[in-house]
Amino acid sequence: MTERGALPLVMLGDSHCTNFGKAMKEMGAPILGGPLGAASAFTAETLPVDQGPLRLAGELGERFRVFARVAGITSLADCRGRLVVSLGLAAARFYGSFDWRRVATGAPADPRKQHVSDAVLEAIIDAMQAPVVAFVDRLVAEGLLVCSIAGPPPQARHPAVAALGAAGVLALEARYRQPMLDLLARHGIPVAVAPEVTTEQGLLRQEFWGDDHAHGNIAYGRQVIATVLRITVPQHAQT
Amino acid sequence: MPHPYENLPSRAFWRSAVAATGPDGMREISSCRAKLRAEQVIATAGSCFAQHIARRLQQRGFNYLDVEPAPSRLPASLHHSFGYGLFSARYGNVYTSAQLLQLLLRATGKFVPTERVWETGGRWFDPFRPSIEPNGFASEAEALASQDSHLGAVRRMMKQMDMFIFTLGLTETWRSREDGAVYPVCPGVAAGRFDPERHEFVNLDYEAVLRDMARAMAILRRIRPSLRVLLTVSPVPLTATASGDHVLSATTYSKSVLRAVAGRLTALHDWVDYFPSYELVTAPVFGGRAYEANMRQVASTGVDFVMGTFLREFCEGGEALAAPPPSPRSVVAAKDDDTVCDEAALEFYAK
Repeated sequence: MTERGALPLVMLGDSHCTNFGKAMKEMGAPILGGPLGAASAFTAETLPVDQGPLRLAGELGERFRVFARVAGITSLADCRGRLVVSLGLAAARFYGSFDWRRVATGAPADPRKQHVSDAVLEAIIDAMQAPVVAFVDRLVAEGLLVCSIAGPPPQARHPAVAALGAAGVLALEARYRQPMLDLLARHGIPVAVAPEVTTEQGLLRQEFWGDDHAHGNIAYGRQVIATVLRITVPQHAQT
Repeated sequence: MPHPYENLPSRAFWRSAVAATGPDGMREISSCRAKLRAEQVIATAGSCFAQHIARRLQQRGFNYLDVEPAPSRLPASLHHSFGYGLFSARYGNVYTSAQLLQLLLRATGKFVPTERVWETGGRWFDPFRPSIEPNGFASEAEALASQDSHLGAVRRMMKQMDMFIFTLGLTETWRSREDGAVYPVCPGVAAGRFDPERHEFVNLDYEAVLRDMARAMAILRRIRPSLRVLLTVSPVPLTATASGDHVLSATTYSKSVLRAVAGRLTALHDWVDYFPSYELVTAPVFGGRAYEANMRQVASTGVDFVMGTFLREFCEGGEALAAPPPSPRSVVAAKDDDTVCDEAALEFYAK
């Protein structure tokens, strides 16, 4: 193992990192870090990708300073070859943003509902994902990123599932994730997908549900962290 | 016995109402019968100038009806591109009386046009609102689903509104020879394909506009017997004319017909009011200074002046609502919000 390879992984990202972080501690995993904020905090303003050193700004910048102390780093650049992120792959915020009792997509549509076109959905996804995708692209370009964590699958209790069915929500989830998955695939960055956590329908099994209908619990976090370690340790060790 | 002019108010005389006051000092410009009240449910439609009315009413906290609001995650900068927030429903600009009438007939199931969608370059467009999806719909089925949903929303609007504000924009339109369906934009300009065998030019005359408007208002009043209607005429000149006349002359014809119909409908029905947005921009006293340099688009100062007058004279508590009306004489470079005029696409073809 090289000197860099001996350093622990650093994980940062959205609110899903809270239970991932708790699981890391429980497991004694060689990963530092945790959440920087809710997914809504990751915007073009807080993720500037202009010229100069890659940094976080605004409220994320403030939190990163605390985060950095805990993780034993001074800047993102210190995470070269050992950064793991949970960004842009958790879709509950997207499919949960519609009142599906009132809104419909696709065709044929229920004329009693307001139709939202495919193009509008794409525009929404682009607006939500573009800043995060651009930021992760910079992380890749700087040689920092070794792994990205997939968001938890939808839960059966999510109102969107009741309105659209599991297949409908999974289709929306897939569309939302696609820009980030395309980027990661282009650069060969692996995605940590927790195994054996879903039902036959593809929804998150109930024993992995968190406190709300968007997040997984610590048991789910353990599955994720185990996957991250399985994916990254070999390559981490080889660097 | 005194003659009829002896006891008229000062607003009836040019010298006291206009010459002495100057453009900024004019008051009681309109003859409002019933002022808008904050609790009234207000809906708007019409040509692009009507977008200003919708926007200002929303800004001033009126009970403005929007039956097709933008999805919450769609950035505000994209709302207008997708036809959200421009009017009370996502119908885009309704330029003509015929278009309004057919919108209501389609919403109530009384008219089903033969050409329900247009295909252009592998994308699908709604012929009756070709600009609400800038790149069209992904499929014919999706375009039809959106259309059905939209017409359902218009039906809901018709049932809910207390006040309908309609801005008459044009008399020129393009019509299907097959079933008389009228389009907001000539086929082939924003979408679709122009076919002289299937599409014809029509310049609506006074009788046609009056007949269309009377039918449209009758449909609305059947559903909402207490509905009030407020008519305005857009001061925005034609972008282009297919009449064969000079565009200046064609504009004068169009606006004259619309203004005359508005006057006639106001005279016929005590539940119809007219607000003179057209006069407040185009009258000689304002010297054309409410316009941008192209003398077509109304500058933000001109819109402020018109809407300040509207709020003051047509709305309860209007004096407090109306910001001091900026002078239309001082046209500044600052543009108003991105008013969407899809007929402006015609300008592209100007030689």
